[in-house]
Amino acid sequence: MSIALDPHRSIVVEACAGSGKTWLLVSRIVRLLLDGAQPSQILAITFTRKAAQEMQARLQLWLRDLAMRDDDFVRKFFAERGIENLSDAQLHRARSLYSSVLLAQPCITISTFHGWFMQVMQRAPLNADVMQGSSLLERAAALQEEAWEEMLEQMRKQPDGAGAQHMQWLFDACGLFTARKLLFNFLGKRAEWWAYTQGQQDTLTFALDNLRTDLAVDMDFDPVSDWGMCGNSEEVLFAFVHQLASNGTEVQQGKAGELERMWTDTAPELRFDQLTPLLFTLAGEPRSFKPTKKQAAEAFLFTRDALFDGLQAVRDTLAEQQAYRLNEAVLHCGVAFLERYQALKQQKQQMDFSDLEWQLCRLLQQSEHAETMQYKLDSRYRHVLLDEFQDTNPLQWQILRAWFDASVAVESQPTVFVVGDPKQSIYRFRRADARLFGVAREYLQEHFAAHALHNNHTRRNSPAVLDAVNAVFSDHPEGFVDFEPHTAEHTNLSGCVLALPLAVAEPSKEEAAENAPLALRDPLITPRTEAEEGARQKEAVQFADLLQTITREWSVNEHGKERRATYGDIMVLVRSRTHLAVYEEALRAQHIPFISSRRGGLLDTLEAEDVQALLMFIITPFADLALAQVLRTPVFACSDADLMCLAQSAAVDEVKTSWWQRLQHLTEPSPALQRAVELLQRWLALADKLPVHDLLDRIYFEGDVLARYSAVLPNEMRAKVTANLHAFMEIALSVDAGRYPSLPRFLQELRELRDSSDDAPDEGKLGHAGDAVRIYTVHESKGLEAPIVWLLDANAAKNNKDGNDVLLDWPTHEPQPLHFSLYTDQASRGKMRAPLFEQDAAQQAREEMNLLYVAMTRAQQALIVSGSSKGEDKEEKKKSLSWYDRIAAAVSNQQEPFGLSPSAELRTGLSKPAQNPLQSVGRVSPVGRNPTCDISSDGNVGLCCANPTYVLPLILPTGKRSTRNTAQQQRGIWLHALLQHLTEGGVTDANELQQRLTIPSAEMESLRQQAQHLLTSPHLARFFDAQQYRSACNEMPYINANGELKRIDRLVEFDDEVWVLDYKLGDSEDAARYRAQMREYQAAMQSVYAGKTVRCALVFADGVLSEM
Amino acid sequence: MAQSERQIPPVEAVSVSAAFFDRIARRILAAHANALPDLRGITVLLPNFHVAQPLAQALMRLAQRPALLLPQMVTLNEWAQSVSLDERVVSDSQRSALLYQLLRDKKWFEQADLWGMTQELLGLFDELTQSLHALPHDAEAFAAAVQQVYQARQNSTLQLEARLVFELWHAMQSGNELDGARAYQQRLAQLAAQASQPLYVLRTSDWTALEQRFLDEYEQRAMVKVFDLREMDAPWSGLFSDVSVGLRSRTIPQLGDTLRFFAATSLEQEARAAAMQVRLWLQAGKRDIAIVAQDRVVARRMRALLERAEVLVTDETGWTFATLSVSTVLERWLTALQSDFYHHDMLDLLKSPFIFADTLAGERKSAVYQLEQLLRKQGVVAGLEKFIGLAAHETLLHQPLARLRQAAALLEQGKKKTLGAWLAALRESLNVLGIDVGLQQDDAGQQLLRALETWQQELHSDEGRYRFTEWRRWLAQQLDTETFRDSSIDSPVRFTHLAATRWRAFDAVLLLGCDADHLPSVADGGRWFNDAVRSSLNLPTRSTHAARQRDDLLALLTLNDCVRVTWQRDRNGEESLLSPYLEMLRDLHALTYDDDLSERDLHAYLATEELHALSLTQVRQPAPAAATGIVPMSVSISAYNSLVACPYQFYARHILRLNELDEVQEGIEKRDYGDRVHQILQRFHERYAQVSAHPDDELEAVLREISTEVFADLLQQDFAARAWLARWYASLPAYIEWQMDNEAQGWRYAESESAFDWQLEGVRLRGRIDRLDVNGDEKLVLDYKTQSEQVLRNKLKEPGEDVQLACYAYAHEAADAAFVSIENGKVKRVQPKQDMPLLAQLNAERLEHVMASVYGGAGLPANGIDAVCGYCEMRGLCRKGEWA
Ligand code: SF4
Repeated sequence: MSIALDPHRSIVVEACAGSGKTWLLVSRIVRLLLDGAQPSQILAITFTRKAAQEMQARLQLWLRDLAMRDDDFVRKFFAERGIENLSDAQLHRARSLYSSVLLAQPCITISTFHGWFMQVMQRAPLNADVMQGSSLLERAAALQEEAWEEMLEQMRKQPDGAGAQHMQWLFDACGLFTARKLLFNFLGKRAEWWAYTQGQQDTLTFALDNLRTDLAVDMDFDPVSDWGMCGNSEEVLFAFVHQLASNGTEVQQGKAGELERMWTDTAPELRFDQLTPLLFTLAGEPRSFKPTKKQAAEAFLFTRDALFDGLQAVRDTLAEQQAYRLNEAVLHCGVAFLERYQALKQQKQQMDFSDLEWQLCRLLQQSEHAETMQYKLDSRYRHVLLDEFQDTNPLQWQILRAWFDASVAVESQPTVFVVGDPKQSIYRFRRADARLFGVAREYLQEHFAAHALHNNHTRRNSPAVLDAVNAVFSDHPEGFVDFEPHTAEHTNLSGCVLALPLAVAEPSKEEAAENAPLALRDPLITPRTEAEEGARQKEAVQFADLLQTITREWSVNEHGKERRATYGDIMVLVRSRTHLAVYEEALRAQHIPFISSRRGGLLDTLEAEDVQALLMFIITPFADLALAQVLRTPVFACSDADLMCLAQSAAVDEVKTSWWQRLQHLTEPSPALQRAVELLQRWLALADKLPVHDLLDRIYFEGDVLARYSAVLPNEMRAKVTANLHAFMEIALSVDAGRYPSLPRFLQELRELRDSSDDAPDEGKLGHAGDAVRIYTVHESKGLEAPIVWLLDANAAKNNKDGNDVLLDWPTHEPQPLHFSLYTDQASRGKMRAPLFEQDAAQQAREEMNLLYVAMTRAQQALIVSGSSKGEDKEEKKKSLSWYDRIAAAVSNQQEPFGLSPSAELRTGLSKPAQNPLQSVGRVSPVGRNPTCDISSDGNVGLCCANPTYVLPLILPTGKRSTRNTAQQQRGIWLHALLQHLTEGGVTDANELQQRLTIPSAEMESLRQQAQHLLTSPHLARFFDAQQYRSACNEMPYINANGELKRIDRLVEFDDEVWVLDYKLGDSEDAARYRAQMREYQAAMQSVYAGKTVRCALVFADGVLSEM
Repeated sequence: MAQSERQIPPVEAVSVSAAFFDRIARRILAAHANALPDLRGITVLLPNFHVAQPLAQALMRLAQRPALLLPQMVTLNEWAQSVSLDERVVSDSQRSALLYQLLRDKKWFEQADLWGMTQELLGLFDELTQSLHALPHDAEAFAAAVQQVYQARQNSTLQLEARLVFELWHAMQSGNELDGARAYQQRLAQLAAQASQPLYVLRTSDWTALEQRFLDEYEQRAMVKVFDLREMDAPWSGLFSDVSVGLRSRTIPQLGDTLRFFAATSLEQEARAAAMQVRLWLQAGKRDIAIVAQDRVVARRMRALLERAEVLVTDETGWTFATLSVSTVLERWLTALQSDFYHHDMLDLLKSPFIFADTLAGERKSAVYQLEQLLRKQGVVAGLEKFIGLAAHETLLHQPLARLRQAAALLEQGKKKTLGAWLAALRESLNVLGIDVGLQQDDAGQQLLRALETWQQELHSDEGRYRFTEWRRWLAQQLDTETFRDSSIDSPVRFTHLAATRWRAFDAVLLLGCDADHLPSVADGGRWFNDAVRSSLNLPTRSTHAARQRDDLLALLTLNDCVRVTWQRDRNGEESLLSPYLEMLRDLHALTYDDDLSERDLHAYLATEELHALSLTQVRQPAPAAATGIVPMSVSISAYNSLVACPYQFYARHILRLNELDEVQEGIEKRDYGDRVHQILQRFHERYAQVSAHPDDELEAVLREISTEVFADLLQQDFAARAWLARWYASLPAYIEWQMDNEAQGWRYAESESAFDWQLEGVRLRGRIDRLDVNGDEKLVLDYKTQSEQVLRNKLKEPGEDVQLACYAYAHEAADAAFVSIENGKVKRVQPKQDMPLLAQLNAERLEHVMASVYGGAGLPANGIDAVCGYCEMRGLCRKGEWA
């Protein structure tokens, strides 16, 4: 470890799950800082913003401790990190790191790849041909959809164009959905496409030419008629016919006759098609022909195989040709599609992640620019740290490499620290390639003299869990070759691994009912039962039951102390969310609180739909169903009787009235309906005046929305629903980057968000999750851990990657892919690409194992795995082992760590939790309820916090909105301002004056005349003509003895007297009103001008001077 | 609580800030004792006009006169504005138009957002202007200097950049007119040149280079005295300047209740805590409360919460027009125009309260609703003329649509016009649409109209021509930068920003959103030069900005004794950090006094607020009994299906008669496909009741011909229609084969699309069948389905769950009924395993029985299975998922 932290070395660490990668990385940062690195010289990159934030927080926390704790702490801290004897100077420096890092400008960069790329891109040289000043596109899916529509529209307009023709071919050959999928997948691989066709003028021709070579196809060649016309074919066929006929069975002889006839009676170019059905099954498998005892087996087989080989060759050629044709069409349309998508982004001045990566990659591959970038950033990195390196994609690696190369070129080569774990690479679908880890290691070893280290020592898992992990992976299943047995840091941590018996469905009632007399279900009395999910449902019930047991009887270890397990300690993992509903339903039925903050699920929750229905109603009051839903929400909690009352009150005079009209005219509405009318009317009126967010706020408030949902909902749902309602509010705040969205536009956006799979907003996060079971997909669980992990539905067959995608060959050492093509179903894949398909499948299988590794290693103490089965026989026929199989096998091999055999015990144990071996995780003494109850989740705030001293403040109406000036007043104000300016002699240009005083051009002239009139009228002239007075001063401020600040409009000093002028807007009638004010002016000025007479006068807009 | 007992503090209470002002006043009075009570001969430079009052009061406190004529107290900007210049000053709008054209003509940055680039460059030029006298005077030298700062080897890219900036900048300055920055510079120069009065200056942070130069020059001619808060032994001055000193060797005064922190776990919590704090302060009698909003999003949320509690807030910060409803209406109008009145855009426009403001709001609304219903029904996607055609008979709509047409004619998108001309056209269109009337009624609207007018005036001499889209982008940028301040609210609670708090003291200050991302807030460095170069050119850098914020923050803490900081410790599930300055203060305080300054009460107040609980009955699975008289006496097949699938769904659809609104359909859906296939087959069999006698290719040709006819309109509209047609073609031969087969078994096509309405015991059953075949006496009802065989088999798996076939059979007294699955190139007949006559009988009986129960008041439970609920539009009514 001391090597890993050595600030002067470059390091590549392959570290297993739970080995403390973040600890290592942050420790290294501290060591670098201690060694004198400036914060701005450090660049750390990780994969998610969350991880970056955590890293930053951890660093800050440590530095803070170093600054604040005593010397012993500091020495120990560094002793743990490879410095045994800290010098006094080092100690001093360690203590100052906190403030110097906190206040550094530029500060330390801890970022994601994309965050950092964006930063670099912003400094892209002007002469680089990249998108300048673009912002990051957030909703790519919507834009892709738009591009698709545009492309189709273009084709509609030009149905004879090449694009349209190719698309038509695709429609005919594979239908709309497949065509669409192929093209969207092509778009998804645009970065690879750009890399592949880099530097080509005509990318399409280039790609197709390559493909023709790769597939070895000649599109002009017609293998079918060639076969039919070829003498050799005839020879081979007849040889086999001969074999069949001589000494063959009756069937064989019949076949022989048929074959012979077919050949002879058919035109050469049709022979292949005619013969195929005789020789191949419908599914395309060769029909079986076996020699009888009487036939010469060897010759028979020889001729048979020769025939079939020939035919197969034709079929293969056809398949390659078909594949080529497909690619021709897809690439043709794909290029057009991509162009449109790029153009749309360009219009919006936005770029997506792929653009960012590709553009940056291109930029940095030009060495001149790459060097420029080294200079242009505010920071010069002397130390680069890369986390989770196994998730890097080829372009990212190229970017890094180019960056490193350039840094060498400008002689500021940094130290590089790479940490990752190829075993945890699960992001192929995001184009990550775990093999790059090895490539990077070699590169760094060669160019940066990097040290390669391994760490298989985990600080996370209990020995029990580790034993299972070791057992599952030690014989390197499915290419998991780089596994070495893990060792545990916490050897005393109790734990267990359980494989619950697979749930099997009851024999379906369909079969049972076969014999019973036919009777139909009365839907009013008997609900239909969910048929499909039998086995899974059983698993779900088992799951929910056991969860309850766990919180009753298990204990977990927290910081070395045993405490009762809570729901919050349990993390549930699934491979995909497809069947999650069944499990969630089971949890709900048992009132177990859970969070499955389903990505993108917010807008589908009932509460979010409710709010959308309400907004929908507000903009379309004739939307009856929306209104009915609104009435039924907890906000109004109207009953079905209320709804029926509305349904019945349809206007008598045949005019179809909307529910809203009916609701407003009900003669005797129920209290609930009455309340609804009042509030809805109010909100409808507000909708015109308020922005969406403010409107929602009023609705939440006046409708008492949160409290009413809480009151109506079951306990365990409250926190979640509240969080979702808040999350909805946040969308309203932030939609369109805070720009003002109109209500219809807002709803439209929501609809788009909801439809697009990757941009949909997540459900509300619960602050500190509270006491709830957390459900994640394995992918989401990356970087997380929990005392108890439950792997659900683990017996499901692995999801086969569906077809219609891009096939890529990008060897890790190549700057660009060597092969790029698309494929559909199995049949047309052909032979030439078989090695690539195999490679792809192998990588897929390997990733499947990685996923299992990630899932298992999330568990700190206990790992539970469950699954369902379609029945014994199906189990036996399975092609590959399921996750369940693997873990179950490992567990049964385990040496009964708890003195009990889990499998034997469990069959009976599940229903009788008291005898469950699970207590071995640690049994808790029978205490009362867990004292760490969470406030927000169970709503019992009152118990712990309601304190009579905290009396809520009263409503104190504060502030007022001034009434708007009348036109008259406004003119007066302008006139006043004009007078000021004209008498000061500063700005004289009418235009400029007008703009400065914001006087509308229409008013300006008449105001100016009026002002001039005042200034020049004879009885006022002495106050404005500088010849006639000693000095004058506008807007003169003074302060009186009471500390009040006053302003005198105009103060004019003559030799013996001083005049205070006050401009008035009204007319001269009401001079009396101003007496007090003027008296105050006079008194004040008298105290200043002790020797002079102070006189006061009002000057009215009409020119009247009225002395007070 | 202690605070609530406190009385409204007397104005004279000597606060921390008063002591500072007294020091300044004493100093001024000492120097100008002779002039008293007339201090007009002095100038005091203030950071903002709010400071005038406390300073004046301090002067009075110490002078003790009946009245004092006050010094000239100005901000530098204001002061400069009072100087008039000989040269004309070009407006920023003109300048950016010029630069835009320059860039456009040179074809640089073709991929870039040119307006944004323009904006950025102008900002840079202004900065360069400000530090002008330190700059080299030709491009070569400039480039060389830049290169050197980069410490770079010869690098043409860097050179190019420097030269380009320098040249553009020079080009922009070549005219006789001054730009804003240069005008400011000249004004300051004049002020300094005319300096005569002694000048007192209040400041909290460093000046810009320009300002510093001004003071230096001023000082040549007259006395200048600077009061820098940082040097007036503020308790923590220098706290952040020397980072090498460890925390443990620093000191800090005890902050007690001066400063407290509230760490929120969500945006909502932060906003609620902040609003609660303000209300508590108000209740405790505080009368001058500042909310320094570092995070605008939280500020918006908080403002709404305060308004709930009837607390209005004065806003010193303002909002850009882009965030206000008044500019949305412009945006919608132009968008509608650009999308050729795409229905969403048009309805959105018409639903704006600002349009047609010269007519009654009620009328406008009923017109929109009418139009909406019309186009939902007719499914018109876009096109103003189409809408006009559609509404030919709706008199209410004539006027509004005509006005739209007239307004649209004013803004011809195909043309290139000057910005001024576009603006003129826009303003006129607003007039036509009655939008200007609407805007006039709103403060922000008025300002917006005025801004449009001003821009038009400013740009009237600009001759560059722009495409519609270019102009729109320009307009969007203008609206993004122009701010609106609502001056109509007068309140003791105000939003302000950090820089505006210089030298100000409040009864209480709330610092909102103080996480590390928002404080210091980072000004975007931009792509031009890095900080090293910028600082060598004397341009402000990131650390200049940060330092200013740091100083402002410290000044605020120095002058105010009641400060609360809120921030989000968790942001969308991600941990976030407190502002580094505050973090250090807090740590130091914790270290010294063992008090980390956490706010103590707000959590409890929030909890108390939340406690407000209602008792409502929990939701249960509903099973309403229908009132007599509203249950239909006649039921369609699909209604029966719904009744079986979920009685509540039946209740909502057929008893309450609720439907989803029609949506304007923009693409072809599976349903349309099914319809078309039905039509094709119906037409086909009308021509060929029997196919056996005809050759395959003839049949195929005819069928194809009919197909293209039936698909004609779709093909016309949508290219994807071809895919659907292809999908049908794939099954077409199979269909002929299947029909042949069918006939071979003796079945003859008899009729299609025939409706039935059958009286059962107490209820009528109605429906329509696709097709009836006969075979002698036997009848067979067929129903075409464009679903796969497997899907249909599943449908029929449990007898009685899908009633369609059985009811058909019953209605036609047919012995058999079947689906015809047409999918994936295959055509298959699918029928239930059970005996059809029996099934038919049972289904009829069940309907009678169930409907009798319903009429008799039996409850209709919401008991659909998940597969049904997944597609059910009534989930919002039955509330499945919320049931206890
Ligand atoms: S959502 Fe389900 S339970 Fe509710 S009405 Fe629809 S089908 Fe019935």
